[in-house]
Amino acid sequence: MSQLNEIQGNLLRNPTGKAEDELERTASEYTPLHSFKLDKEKSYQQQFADMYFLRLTKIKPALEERASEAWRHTIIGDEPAQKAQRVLDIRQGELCWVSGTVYMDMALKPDILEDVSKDRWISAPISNTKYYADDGSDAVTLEDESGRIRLVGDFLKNVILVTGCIVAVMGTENIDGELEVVDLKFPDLPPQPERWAISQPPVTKGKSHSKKSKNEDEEMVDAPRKGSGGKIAIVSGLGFSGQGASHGLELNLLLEYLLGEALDPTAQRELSQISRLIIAGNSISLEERIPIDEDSAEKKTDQKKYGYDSSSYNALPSQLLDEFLSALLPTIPITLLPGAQDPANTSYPQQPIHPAMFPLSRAYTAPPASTESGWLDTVTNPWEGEIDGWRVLGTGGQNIDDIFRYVGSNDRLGMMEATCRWRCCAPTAPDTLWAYPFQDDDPFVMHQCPHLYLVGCQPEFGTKVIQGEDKQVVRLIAVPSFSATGEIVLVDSETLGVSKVKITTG
Amino acid sequence: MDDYKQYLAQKILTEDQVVTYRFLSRALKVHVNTAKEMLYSFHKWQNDKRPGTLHATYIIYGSKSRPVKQDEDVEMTDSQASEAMDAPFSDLVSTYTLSLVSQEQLQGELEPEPEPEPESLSQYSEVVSIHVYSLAPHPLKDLQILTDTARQVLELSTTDSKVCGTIANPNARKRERRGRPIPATNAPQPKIESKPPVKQEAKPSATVAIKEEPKPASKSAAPSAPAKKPTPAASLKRQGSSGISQMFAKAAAKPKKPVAKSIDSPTTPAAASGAEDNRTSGAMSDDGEDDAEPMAEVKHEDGSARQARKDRQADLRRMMEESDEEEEPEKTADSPEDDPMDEESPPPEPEPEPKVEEPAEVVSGTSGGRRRGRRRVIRKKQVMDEKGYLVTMQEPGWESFSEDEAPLLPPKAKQQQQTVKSEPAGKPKKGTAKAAGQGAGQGNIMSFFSKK
Repeated sequence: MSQLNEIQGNLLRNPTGKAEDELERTASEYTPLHSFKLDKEKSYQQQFADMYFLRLTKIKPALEERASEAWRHTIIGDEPAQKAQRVLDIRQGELCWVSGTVYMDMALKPDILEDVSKDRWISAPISNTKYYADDGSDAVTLEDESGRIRLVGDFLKNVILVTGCIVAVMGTENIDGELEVVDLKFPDLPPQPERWAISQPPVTKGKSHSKKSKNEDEEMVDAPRKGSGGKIAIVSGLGFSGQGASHGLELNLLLEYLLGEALDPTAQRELSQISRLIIAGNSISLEERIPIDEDSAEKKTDQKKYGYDSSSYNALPSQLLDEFLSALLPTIPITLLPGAQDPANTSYPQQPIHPAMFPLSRAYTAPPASTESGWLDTVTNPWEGEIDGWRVLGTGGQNIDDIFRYVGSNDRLGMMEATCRWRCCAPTAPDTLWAYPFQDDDPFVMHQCPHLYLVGCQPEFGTKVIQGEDKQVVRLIAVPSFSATGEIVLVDSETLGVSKVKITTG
Repeated sequence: MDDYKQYLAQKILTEDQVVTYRFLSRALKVHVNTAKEMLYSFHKWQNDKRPGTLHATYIIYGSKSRPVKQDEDVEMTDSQASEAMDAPFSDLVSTYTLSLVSQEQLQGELEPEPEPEPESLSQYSEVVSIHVYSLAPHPLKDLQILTDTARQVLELSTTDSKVCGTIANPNARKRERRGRPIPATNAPQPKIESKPPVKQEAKPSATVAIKEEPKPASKSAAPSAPAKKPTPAASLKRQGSSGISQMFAKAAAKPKKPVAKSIDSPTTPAAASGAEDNRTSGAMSDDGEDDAEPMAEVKHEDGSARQARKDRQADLRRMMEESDEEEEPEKTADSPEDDPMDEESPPPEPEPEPKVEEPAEVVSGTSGGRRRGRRRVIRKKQVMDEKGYLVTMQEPGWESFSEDEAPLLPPKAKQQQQTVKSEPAGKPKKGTAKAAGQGAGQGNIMSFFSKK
């Protein structure tokens, strides 16, 4: 029992009857950007090729600048590296460098041409299997508008490459018409905006900021040092399901935790610092959905005139999610990103979950057509915005999951870092990651480097800080699925320091 | 002060229920922290009297010592430390664990036992807080049972959350809903409730064969019967089906109010309604974006209009009920002596839509460029007769439809004052050309899917 007495927040005592403090939650400065919002009336007539072209033209200038800087004085065997304008301009035996789009030729990768030639018109279910084959049969090719060349060389083994990323390679074409790669450059991190680039910092509360680390100090030396000193909670994969989730109690504990009802007064005071909740995808679980069997579906067809067919659709998961949200909303603002299993469109960028899904919570959403952000902000996936002055890029995880299939490694943070260095948050769209056929703009190109880059629905938690040549500092966070791990992530909105909370029962 | 003991004794010992601190706090309207203490003291008091009668669960919150990262654990509470180092895969971060454990697991630790339980205090290097989560008369085999209690909490949650100690947020903002003193969340309910009868009503010749048979009978009997007979019934049905869509039509047609800026300010919720108006009439996009909006629309109406609509709605509902009753005799009616009954039964209200001739198509409402209503169609029906042959019959029937507004509508519009009212003023319509191509008898997607 001696141990118990040392616990500071011990509520194992008789009622003291003293009045409790009323806690007030820290305010959250929040400016969403609508970088990934699609028109309501969108056409799907376009070809996807434009996306690759747009991406290449957008990223190429920065990439070439960087490459020519690096390889200007490169001389290998008395031969200076020459720039080849196009892939087709590469001459055999000459040392040169060229930039273009990577295309991975993989036997296991789904191929639309193959589907068409075999007269398969139903898209295959998205599986979690890898496209990556360990036997070395996968070919890396570099292409631009002129042609395509196969890349070979040991150098490629050290880098993550996927279809759609833009790279510059230096090497010589060998006798087989392949480019022996000597060196390879990514565009690297895009320029990073300063803190409070879009939004205005709140009035200072006279807090001291002595606890800043060196990195942060360099980073925002002239940025105003204000802010709420709060925390941002990030959770993903809540996984509400129709048949009484196995983690229902954990969800309840999470609710009580975020509401500030659990724990003791001291801890509750800390909880009141959590100023915003970001839900990064998969709030609803697909797993227990019953497959509709043919027979009953046929019988029911004519009764589906209005509403839904209750035998094949279960509204309970979204009702539970709605209840969860509506319980939290009076006390905490929520940003809700859709994920692969959520009721939103499948193709990237996923558009916001419609507020009509949330009859109880929708009062907190922004009215349609208003420019203001809602207290419950249902946003796109990927999503970009500014929270407490930091530029945040968040996704529901599909972009990283898809990259994961291309590579042999398991290093999710490495893949996240790679997307930043490629300046493209979803390079595999539209090849293997379904995407809207953009015509005028490829929104997946990162023009500005986020301060905080979070990816939801990952198998396990991970975080690290990467740095760029221009003193960009990016905090990467792989957010695990709550339904699997019971973990939520807390990010300090002053320092971007990360901690996590694990909720367990039993 | 001992009230809570009485309450808990009744709930737990008499009613055999599980009580969580949240439940107690809502039930007695006390702060959650007080509720936690009450649970503890009741637990202690009761178990001192009769040991083993109560079983508690506890919440433990703190940082756990991890086998590998043990030494970092303490320093890592400062999140800065993680910044400094770059582990190859992931930085180490401080992890707090909130776990719910049963009394047995906790006791296993508190009493000197050689084997520590998996989820017990010894796993923690630092416990920040601990409190009772729930009390139950039996040991909980599966802690997930507590979710049921959590649901009860939800139902009790009407009490002021401030009393219970939920962290307040002064910045929370809700969309303003005009003129609705009742909570906004309850508002849509009555509307939805009024829907089902309409649905049934509007369904063209129901799918069940038994229901199918009587109808043609009455229809074919119509010519011989006084000409009036089918019409009132039909018009009644029409009104019935129009019940819900009329409400939308009304709302959509509402003149826009001068719009002020903020939606936050309670004085100008018209801004929201104006905005929604714009959108609704602008485009009905196929992603369902706008379909739900008319519901919200309704709420923005001003008091008098709403009252009027409510009255009419009530009228309609009454009429529908009557027509429901009426339909039963009508179905079985083959003999002419039923006809006088029918003539009497129409309620005195048909004035709103006075017309004698039977239109091929009745528009019961428009909302944002979409017409809804019913139309007369000749339907082909294939049945297998007793010999096993397929027999195709042509039957007249009513079919509800909703489609984009066609330009041929205006001449018809005078049949219904609602139509005229809701005629959207000169808005550009993309679908006009397409809709024009659709004749009165076809073009509705529903007719494609309906039973042949």
